[in-house]
Amino acid sequence: MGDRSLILEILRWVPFATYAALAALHARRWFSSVPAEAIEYRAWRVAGVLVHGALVLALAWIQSRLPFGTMWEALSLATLVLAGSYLLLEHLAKSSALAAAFFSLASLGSLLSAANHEPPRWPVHVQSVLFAAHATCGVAGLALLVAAGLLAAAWLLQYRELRARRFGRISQRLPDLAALDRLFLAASIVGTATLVVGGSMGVFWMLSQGRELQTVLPKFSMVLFTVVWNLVLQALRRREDFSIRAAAWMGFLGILPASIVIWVGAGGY
Amino acid sequence: MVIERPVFHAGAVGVSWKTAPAELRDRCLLPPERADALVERLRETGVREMVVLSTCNRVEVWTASEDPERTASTVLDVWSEVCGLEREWTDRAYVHHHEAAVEHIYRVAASVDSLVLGETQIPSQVRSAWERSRDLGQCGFFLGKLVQGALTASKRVRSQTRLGEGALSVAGAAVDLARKISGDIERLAVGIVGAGEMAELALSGFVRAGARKFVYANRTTENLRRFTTLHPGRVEGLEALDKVLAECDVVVAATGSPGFVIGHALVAQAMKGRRRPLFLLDIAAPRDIDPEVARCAGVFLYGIDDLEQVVDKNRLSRDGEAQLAESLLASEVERFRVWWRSLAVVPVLAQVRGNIHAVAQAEVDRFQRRVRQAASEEELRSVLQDFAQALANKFLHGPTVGARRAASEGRDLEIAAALRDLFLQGDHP
Repeated sequence: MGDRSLILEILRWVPFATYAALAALHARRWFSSVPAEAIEYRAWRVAGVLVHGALVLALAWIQSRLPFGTMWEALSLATLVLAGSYLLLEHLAKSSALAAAFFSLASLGSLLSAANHEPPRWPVHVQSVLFAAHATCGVAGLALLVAAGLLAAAWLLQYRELRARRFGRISQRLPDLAALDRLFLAASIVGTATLVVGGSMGVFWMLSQGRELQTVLPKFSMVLFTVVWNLVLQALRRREDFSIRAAAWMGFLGILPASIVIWVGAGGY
Repeated sequence: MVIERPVFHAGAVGVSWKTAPAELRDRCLLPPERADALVERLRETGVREMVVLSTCNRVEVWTASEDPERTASTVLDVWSEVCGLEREWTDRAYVHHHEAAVEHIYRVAASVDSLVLGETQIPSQVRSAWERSRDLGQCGFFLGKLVQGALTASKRVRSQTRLGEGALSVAGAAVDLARKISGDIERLAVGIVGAGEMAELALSGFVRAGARKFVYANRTTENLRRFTTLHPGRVEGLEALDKVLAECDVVVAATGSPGFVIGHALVAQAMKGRRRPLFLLDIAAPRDIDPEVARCAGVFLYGIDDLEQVVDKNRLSRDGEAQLAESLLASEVERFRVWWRSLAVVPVLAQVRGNIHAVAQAEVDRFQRRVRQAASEEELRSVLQDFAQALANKFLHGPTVGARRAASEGRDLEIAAALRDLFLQGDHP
């Protein structure tokens, strides 16, 4: 293995190490008596996401190509967007209670991305502004929908604890129901919009390349399903007589199609 | 020469909720004018540094003096005189000296010694007392360092433990739960059903927490005037409960009614076409809200037992955190102790430095003429060698004579260890 290859290999593992360390640090708040403020590590979280962002750019520069030559590389980008979205959500909710969950998921994504690294099958000529916009918006939208699902799961957990009159650690550490609901809905709306933009860019790119949609039919269908699922959820959520609990279940189950899109996407463009 | 321990010793004299009933504490209170009189009298007796802390749960005088035992006795005498108390009150007072006083002051500032463990007011009360004392020139460097150290320790306890977390009152627990369900209290509409003491208690809790929108409901609306003076709000009769339930995020029921005032049908109707959760709090005895109501989706029904469960859990949690706080305080007290002990060395070091500078200056004066007369570089080098030799001999003369004398008195090993510590650091013995 040459020096350059070794450096690339090491760089690919840095996001996983960073997110795993952050997840472990934040998991402490669930098990120790140290209060949340004392183990905030806000600067560490921001630094971790910035390090990942810098690495994506560095890899693109070293390899002289956009950083999504394979779907595994795109997965790394997705985890970056997930972690970045988390920072935004944390700022809006004024709570870092979900840091451990988000960074655990980000470390899992980074692990899969680093462990499955393979040479890019896509020729450089397919990479264009349209393709870059498609991939970036696509993974950002999917990451936000996964984030929405996680927030919905947190809402369901908090709801269950409060209804069951269990005023223990879980209830104390999770944000309030109103904040979780607002964040879940915001992540779902922005995630869906971003995914629609990403998908549209993909279609335009394929047309510009003279390719047929049939070649990506499974991925296209799943994206369509994910978008429709979330649009229905948001439409129902606006109705006064539709319960937040049902909406939260829909949001939580929405993780599944979003994950399938990521998975199916790994098979090709 | 005998080296004495630090000149300053801490002292703490006072009464608190632990040692004296509220009536006696009230009589011992030291509001500013009385505190000034006390301080004035204490100054006349030679006490130089003091801080007066006067709160509803404790009244204390912290001092720094050369003889803390005598100072404590003086403080008690003057305190009795200023407040017009019989000498017997001192049986209820506590007196701490030296390191015990330091530990006590640290524990007070960290609210580990408070009636409500981890309460948040005492650190700011200690800070105010210290600032007042400092501004009046009553607090010197020793007591200043002690109080500042105690406040730093208090901050550490607050940031590294959960000592101050969780409400310890039923009203506080109700507010905490409402916040967990519906978010910002400021934005919530709170309905109070009933006009009794419990209803008023809950109302006070929500007003303190920042709630702004209130709807009051009772069978006799005239009885609600008292509430509208506490906080403005709309008044309704019990027949308008459906409107109250539909409009409010939080409804507290505390009537004296023998049966249920809020039934399942009423709540189910209110929840129709409503997305927001409804927090119902039944603190009446007998109960006002049908327990079946809890089955409605989006409804959170709690009773007084649930609130007490929250309070008990918080209290238990605070007790556990108190142990962690004590260990943090122990390390902070140790830090102060190290600084305090170093005070014994400070005056001696200052004297040694002064002597050495004087000797050096005398030698410079003595060699000045020879330096001027030096005709060549070689001659100047010889003069400087003589100067260095003379300076070294002068510096070492005192320690050499002292070390020989100590050795002849049987303190040979002790002085050898001290010399090694002072002059051979890093060298092998």
